[in-house]
Amino acid sequence: MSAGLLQLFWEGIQETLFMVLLSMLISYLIGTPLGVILYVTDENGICRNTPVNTVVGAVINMIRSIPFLILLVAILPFTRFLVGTTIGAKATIVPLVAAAFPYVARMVESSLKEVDAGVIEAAQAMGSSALQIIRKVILPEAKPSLLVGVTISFATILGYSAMAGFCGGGGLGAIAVNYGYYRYDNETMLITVVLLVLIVQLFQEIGSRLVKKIDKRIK
Amino acid sequence: MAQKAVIRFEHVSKSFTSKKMNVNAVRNVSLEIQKGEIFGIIGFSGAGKSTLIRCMNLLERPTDGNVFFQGVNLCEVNNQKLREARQKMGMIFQQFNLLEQRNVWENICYPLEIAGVEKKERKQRIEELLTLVDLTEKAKAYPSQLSGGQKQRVAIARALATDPEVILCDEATSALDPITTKSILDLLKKINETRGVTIVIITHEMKVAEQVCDRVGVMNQGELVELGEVREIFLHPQSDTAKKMILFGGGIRYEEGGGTT
Repeated sequence: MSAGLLQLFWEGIQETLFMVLLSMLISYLIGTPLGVILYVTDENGICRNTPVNTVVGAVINMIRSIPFLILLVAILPFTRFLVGTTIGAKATIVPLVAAAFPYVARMVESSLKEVDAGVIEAAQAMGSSALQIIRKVILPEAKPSLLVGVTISFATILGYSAMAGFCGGGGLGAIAVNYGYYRYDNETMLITVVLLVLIVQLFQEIGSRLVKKIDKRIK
Repeated sequence: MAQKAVIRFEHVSKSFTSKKMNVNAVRNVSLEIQKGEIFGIIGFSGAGKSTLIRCMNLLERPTDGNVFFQGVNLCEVNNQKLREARQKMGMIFQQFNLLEQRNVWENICYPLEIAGVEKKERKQRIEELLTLVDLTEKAKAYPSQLSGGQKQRVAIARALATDPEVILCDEATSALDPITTKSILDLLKKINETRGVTIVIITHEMKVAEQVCDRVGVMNQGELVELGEVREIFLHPQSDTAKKMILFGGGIRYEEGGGTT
């Protein structure tokens, strides 16, 4: 393999990780509060509020039901407005976040639902406020499950980022599209696929080990 | 009564409505729990005991009637005042309900954080409580590393952290073996005697009531059917429920159709 290709793959990996990790960070910043809202306003939640729950849930479902490629094209004007361009890794972050934050919100919600209702009741019996229960009970108790969610989200967003390669996105996806699809360069295509698989495996492994380490229930 | 009631129920009812049916878990219960006593509520499963004790700190809000704690009607106070009242009522549960991701020390620390107790004072209090429940060497252990009895002792320490007036025990010994049950009951009794904490125990085990309670109320189908001194109820049970409970609790096999009345 030529030095040029190696350089290309290395840049592709960097770009992909940059896109995916940054969009994950932003998606969690938006998605976590939304997940908490969904959870606490639920019928059995600590701040039951059906109108809020219905509206937030409906918006999230709506965005989630749009296929990623279509969402990506549909919000191109918004992307241009925000980043100034619609191509490259930076521009891809916008549709990635748009697709990922509702996903993250649902992941967070389902992690929080795993927290034992008895523990929350005990916290209420001790005179905790709703905010204290969220900060000191629900989120810390759900931490291992939330982390599992992060690793799952990572694989999903990585998948989205590769799709964005078709529409001028950067990273490994773009390499696969430009070399593998347009130039019938199967070798380059294959290497890209292997690299993507390795990245997912690596993060999955790191995630699983971390979960095992921080979860105090298994020991 | 001459004594001062810590908790007073005035015609308390609680019903749960779902689309399919309406369950009257507690029906028109009035009672007074005196300061410093150990009060038991006994009855078979589904009698409404759990709902009744949950009405004491308003984990369940009564559909009807009033709940007074230290003379204050909890049904009428705002959230802030309710939380303050709850900090004066510790509660322990059948399933312990400890924070699984916090160690023993941090679990006992939780109510102190909530109550805004200074860090320095927290340390002192936790050390004192760990000594009381005899778990000093387990301070850094996580709940998953403890036995049921140890978990319940942590829960008791946690319930005592904010120096409560009352401790509510919701089937606190039902998940424990007889020997551990005895040790937990002894601990509760000790706390009652040395600290003057009022204790409310709900249980379906007659032995528990017999061992520690001063007075008991007998519940059946949401109603309080009998109330009195433990000895009196054991010697001269009036209600069918009390008679049946004594029969079962005493280890005598109750034969179908044998009848107790």
